[in-house]
Amino acid sequence: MTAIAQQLRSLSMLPALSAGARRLQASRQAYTEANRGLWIVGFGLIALMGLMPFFAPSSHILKGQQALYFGLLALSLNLLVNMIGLISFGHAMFFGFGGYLVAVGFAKEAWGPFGDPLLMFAFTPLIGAVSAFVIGFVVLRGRELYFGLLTLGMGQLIWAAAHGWQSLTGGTNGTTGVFAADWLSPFEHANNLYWFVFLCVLVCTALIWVIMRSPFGDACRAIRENRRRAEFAGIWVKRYEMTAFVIAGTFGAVAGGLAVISETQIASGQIDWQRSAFALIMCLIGGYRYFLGPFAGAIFFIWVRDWLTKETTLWDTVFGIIVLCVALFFVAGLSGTIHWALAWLVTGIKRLRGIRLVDEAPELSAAEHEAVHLPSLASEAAEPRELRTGGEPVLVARNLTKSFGGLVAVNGASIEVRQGTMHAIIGPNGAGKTTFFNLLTGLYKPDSGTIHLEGADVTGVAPWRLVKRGLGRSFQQTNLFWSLTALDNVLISEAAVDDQTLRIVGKHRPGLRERSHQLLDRVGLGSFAGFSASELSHGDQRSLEIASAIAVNSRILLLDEPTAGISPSETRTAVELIRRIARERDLTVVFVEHDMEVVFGIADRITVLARGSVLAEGTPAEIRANPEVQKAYLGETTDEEAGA
Amino acid sequence: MIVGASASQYVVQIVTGLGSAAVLFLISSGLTLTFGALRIVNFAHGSLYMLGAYLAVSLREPIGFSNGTFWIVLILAGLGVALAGVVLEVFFFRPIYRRPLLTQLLVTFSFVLILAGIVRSIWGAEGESTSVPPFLGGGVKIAGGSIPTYQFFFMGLSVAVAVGLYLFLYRTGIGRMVRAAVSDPELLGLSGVNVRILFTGVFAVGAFLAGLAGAAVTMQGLSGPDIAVRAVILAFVVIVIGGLGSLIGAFVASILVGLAQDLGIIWVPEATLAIVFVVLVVVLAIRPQGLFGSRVA
Repeated sequence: MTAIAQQLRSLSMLPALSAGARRLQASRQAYTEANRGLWIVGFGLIALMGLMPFFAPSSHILKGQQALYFGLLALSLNLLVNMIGLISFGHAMFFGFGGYLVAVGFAKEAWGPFGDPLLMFAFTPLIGAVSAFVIGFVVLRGRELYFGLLTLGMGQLIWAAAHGWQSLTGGTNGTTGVFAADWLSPFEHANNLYWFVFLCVLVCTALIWVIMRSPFGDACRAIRENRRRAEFAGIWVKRYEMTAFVIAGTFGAVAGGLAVISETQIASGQIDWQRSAFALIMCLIGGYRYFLGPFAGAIFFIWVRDWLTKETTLWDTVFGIIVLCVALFFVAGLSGTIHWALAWLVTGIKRLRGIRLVDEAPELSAAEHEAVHLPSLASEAAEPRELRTGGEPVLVARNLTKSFGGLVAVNGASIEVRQGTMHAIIGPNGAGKTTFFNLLTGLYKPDSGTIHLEGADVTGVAPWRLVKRGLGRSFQQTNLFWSLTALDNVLISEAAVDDQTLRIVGKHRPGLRERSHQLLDRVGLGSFAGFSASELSHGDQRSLEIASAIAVNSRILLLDEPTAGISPSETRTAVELIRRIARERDLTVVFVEHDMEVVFGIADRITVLARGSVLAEGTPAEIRANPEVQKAYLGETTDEEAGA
Repeated sequence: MIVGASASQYVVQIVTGLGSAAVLFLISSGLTLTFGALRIVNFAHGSLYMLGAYLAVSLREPIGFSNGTFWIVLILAGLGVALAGVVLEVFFFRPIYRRPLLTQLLVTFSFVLILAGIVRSIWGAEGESTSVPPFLGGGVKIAGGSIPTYQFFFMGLSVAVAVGLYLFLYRTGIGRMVRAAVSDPELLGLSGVNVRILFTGVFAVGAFLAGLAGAAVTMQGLSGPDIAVRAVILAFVVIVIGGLGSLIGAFVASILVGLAQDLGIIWVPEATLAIVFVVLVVVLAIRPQGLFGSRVA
């Protein structure tokens, strides 16, 4: 778990060129300013590609054409890799679907309109989308590596079909001589063909840009960063993954169609797993964290590979070494290198003007910040506390049981949480608190027992559905969208819970950003809105986690050890924060806590778990006086905790 | 096209299928072992297999491939590949264990390209002729068909490897550590075991098995360096069907895939390649973690 978190953190760093070359990094500000330069380079590249027929010799125009449709294939793959974090090793299958759709009907006279390559080309997005939808049901059953291997297998299945079904596809010899139209003839009207490909690729690229910048794109990035957190932001992860997969397949098929129109042929060898691997390599070499990276990679791939095959028989070895070096030392790829160079240029120019770019770091924790600026906290804490008896029971669990293998973690535990109360769950280590909590929040399905949320039976319901019903949760181990900003962490939760993030075009609803900002202000993180979650202090991360749990419009807040691992002063702030927000928003709060001072300080009601069962339930005073609790729980713990 | 094949054809195809299964197990056992411990998807595993085959081709000239000496060729080829594997692991794979999946995949894939070029430049792109030790020459008559004797040698070798690996993993102290590494490498590191050396050792064993398999299949003849990619894809299919990291899974899945391939020749000759992947998809649609996989990844 921590290893993954660290991985995500390291990814979130600005394009790290290499671990050893850290001191070579320009400041964050320089990178931000260099973004503009990167735009200019990007548009320059597009212009260069568009105007190629005017200045380049025909052999280079041909390569440019190849770079365009392979770039589109890589870009559509990068939509999965970079946007939602799915690494497909079989993306060439969509290339195949599009390509064969255009090609197979051509030579068959009986096929009528299906033999018209241009007409068929218009249907490539459709076949890509439909096939991706069907294949998605199989491959999306796997995650991470399994997804990769399943796509590899599926891709090979499609390849083997193209290879074996000779009467339709022509097998290894392929379908050849597919001339789309006279005005697109690669021999007589090579420039027309080039511009046709260029325009199609340009339109597709623009569409992908819009999709990546949409609310949907934001939700996908959240899934990439932290799948579990995304689920608790009300995101039905599978649905988003399927959507992204279908979009990627759609554009992948268009790339395949363009390839056939350009090359007038397609053979099974063009869609095998190495083609898929090459598409991934293009993303990597070009810089998969950058939008136009895949095109940069495709251009590099086409020209360098061509040059290498001419220069040396060892071309694949040399190319392999290049891939190896980029993967090991230049993960940011070509685009990252350009970005880095531009950042230094910016730094140099500023220096000449006498401006020094220094990064501001969030040194001061927001919790301390808050303590300075909100003196009211202390006085509020000093107020005498009245216990709330609460309204209707809103969260009721009966006889929950859950076992892992032979171990019964929760055994017939029940709880009744009343509206508006602060309900603590305590118990000695290994009492099954976190398991119980995970059952309540839908992360685990109970073996037996029922859970009712605001009167409705929600036993075994998926977390994201519970979230949509007004249940927000935080985790014991901080669980955030690490490389996204604090603001986006909150904003995506707010947008996703109402399905706003299902929109694949457009922007977030007006006012959402302000609302998210207000919420951040409320938890004392207003001035840190622009920092990525991984940069915040641990205490602030806990606050952000609470903000995220509230952002889903929750009426019931389930907090798993909200003060775990933070300093005593921060603990006080966090506890006050929770109490204040709960009062303001009329929230019901259920929390697991080790710190007895916190528990007896804020809980209206306490449930004590021991060995997976409920030992006692009552008001703090009742629990304190309960001899069984003292024996089973307080007696077993250290003096320090018992004395609290 | 054989529609309604006779019983004897089935027998022949089943025995041939078991021969293919044996070779598949030799390759995939090493892959599943390294994956289990190192959690890395090694695309270069097929290339190590190819390297083993070509090393055997070179070694059988001076040493000879007689009844008494072919063992030496097999073992030396395996050891040579194990050495290459150690170099690969220590210098290139070690730095990427903690890196993102994309980096891992492309680093191992880069060695597919690198080794393909190297092997081609040394041994050429053409295939190599078969060479079989005399006692494995000829064929065994079964149900009216003739099956090359070396196929039975493959079966024996893979059963021996399976038993050997089982004894190693379940009956030795080091084997216990390897199994511990499979279930929780971080915990093992905390318990004072030198995980680095253990990983290198496991990788060397996996590479050795790949090299051994490659050297053995030279008896069938060698079609060219392209055997690397074909082998690694099939090995992946096997270990995914069997469940990543599971040795028993690899054994069962090898038989399944081997039989599917060779029976497919009777049923749907055009789709023999596809049938393997159909098996993969069907198995995973029912059991995403594979036949013997414990975790849903």
